[in-house]
Amino acid sequence: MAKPLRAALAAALLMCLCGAAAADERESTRLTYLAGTCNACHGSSITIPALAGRPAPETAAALRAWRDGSRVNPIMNAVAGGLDDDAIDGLADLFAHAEPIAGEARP
Amino acid sequence: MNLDRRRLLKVAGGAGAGLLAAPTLLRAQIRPKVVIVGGGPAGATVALTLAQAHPDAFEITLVEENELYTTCFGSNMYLAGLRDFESLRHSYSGLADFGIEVIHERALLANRSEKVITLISRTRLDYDRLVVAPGVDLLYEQVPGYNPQAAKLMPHAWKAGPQTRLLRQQLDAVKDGEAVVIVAPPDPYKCPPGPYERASMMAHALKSSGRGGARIVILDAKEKFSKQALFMEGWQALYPGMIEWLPPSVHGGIELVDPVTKTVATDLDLFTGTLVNIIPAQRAGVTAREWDLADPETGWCPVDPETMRSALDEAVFVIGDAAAAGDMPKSAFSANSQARVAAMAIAADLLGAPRIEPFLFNTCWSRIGAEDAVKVGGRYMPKEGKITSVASFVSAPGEDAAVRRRAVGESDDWYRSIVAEMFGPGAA
Repeated sequence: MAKPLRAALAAALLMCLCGAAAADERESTRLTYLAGTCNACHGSSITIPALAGRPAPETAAALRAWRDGSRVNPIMNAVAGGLDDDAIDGLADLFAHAEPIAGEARP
Repeated sequence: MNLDRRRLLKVAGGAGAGLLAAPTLLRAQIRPKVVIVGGGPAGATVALTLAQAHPDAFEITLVEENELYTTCFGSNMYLAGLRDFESLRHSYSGLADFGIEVIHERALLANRSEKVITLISRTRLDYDRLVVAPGVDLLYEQVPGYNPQAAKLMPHAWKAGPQTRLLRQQLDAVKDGEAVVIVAPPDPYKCPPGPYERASMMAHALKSSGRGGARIVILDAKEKFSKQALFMEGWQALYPGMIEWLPPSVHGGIELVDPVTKTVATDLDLFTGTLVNIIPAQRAGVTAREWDLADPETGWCPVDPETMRSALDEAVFVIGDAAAAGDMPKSAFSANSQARVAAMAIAADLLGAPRIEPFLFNTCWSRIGAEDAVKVGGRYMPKEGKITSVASFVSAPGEDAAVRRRAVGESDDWYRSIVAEMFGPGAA
């Protein structure tokens, strides 16, 4: 009785772990993909602020302010409106750890 | 003895190395093949995105006729003398650093059931996924009297390159008090605000060189156009009396154009210009049409809005101007955004990468004056089987000069960014 139960638990745990790994992979793929949209404008910054190296809380707060409209920038309001909380936090973290692109102005 | 021993060791070493290398070699041999036809903002972006996101995972071949790409975006600023021609031209050589093979040839035939295309040199390229990004073709014959030969006298300059230079030469030859005629196309076409940005940049070139008495007449095929209020306001402020826009309800339609006398006959009147710029109606590039990827009725290629996959072939993706992309305008920004969507779908198809919902975005900046740019754009999502606008924005009339000046800087940043996404970080 105990043995099959333990096996079932182990199997369930394994499924959980695999599920979590798949979710992680999905999320990291999604963030890399979304970051491409950011880089379409922020990739070579003089006027448009650079993102690489910017502290994550700063980027996340700005994206949330654009999403809820408390900060106004027509392009950023339209972009941020399409981002969920996980995307905002994930992108902020990703850019905080990104190497600045050569020749790019520092934030 | 010694020599034999050394040779033996060498052979053994070689064999050993061979054994070790075998799995890699095996993997290399079974790398899925992605062939991309067309090296513009759509095709070049999908090549580089795949190569950067999945190093060495694909065998990527980009087929593009031209060795140097001349961006159509930014080319109106060259007319105005705000950019030099060389700054619009970019080499594909940086793509080799990412393992992308670039073949400068014309793709001729596709055998889609066998998944192989043939180039003009008879080189055959087989593929697991094919990306078709040929841009637009110009429907010369829809402007009576216009044809590729006539374009040598009355340029379209809607494909950047020699035509762009010809238009600039003709603009330079316009004297004060003379006329310029622009024939603007019906929807849909590449770069909706382009003809009006072009009129603005021509007026800037003329006025800033003591030719403010020249006149520009736009004979449009449409009753309204992109960012109309913004352009009209800017023309009034910066080039008063220089630019006149006539919709078909006023000119009554183009009857005939004559490249020898540089005359455009409409129902209303005859318009003669020192420079006549004819921008004809457009449809998907010939490659997409000859490969039966376009809807013969509309001339554009139907795609799945989730992935940019051709609605007619699951192994083919159509991105950029040639695609029927719902509410998205045909722009370099849209093409670049669609390329990322296609890259994700290709990685999901061939590598089992996760399928991600598309994030489609566009911004079109247009220059009205040297220090005055406006923008329009939005975010798009698949809805009810088509790419649908879910958020949009457009510059406001009467905006502060600082906002407009900043938009000039934004568009310059975007230019460098997209060029880096097409040709690699060194290109910008």
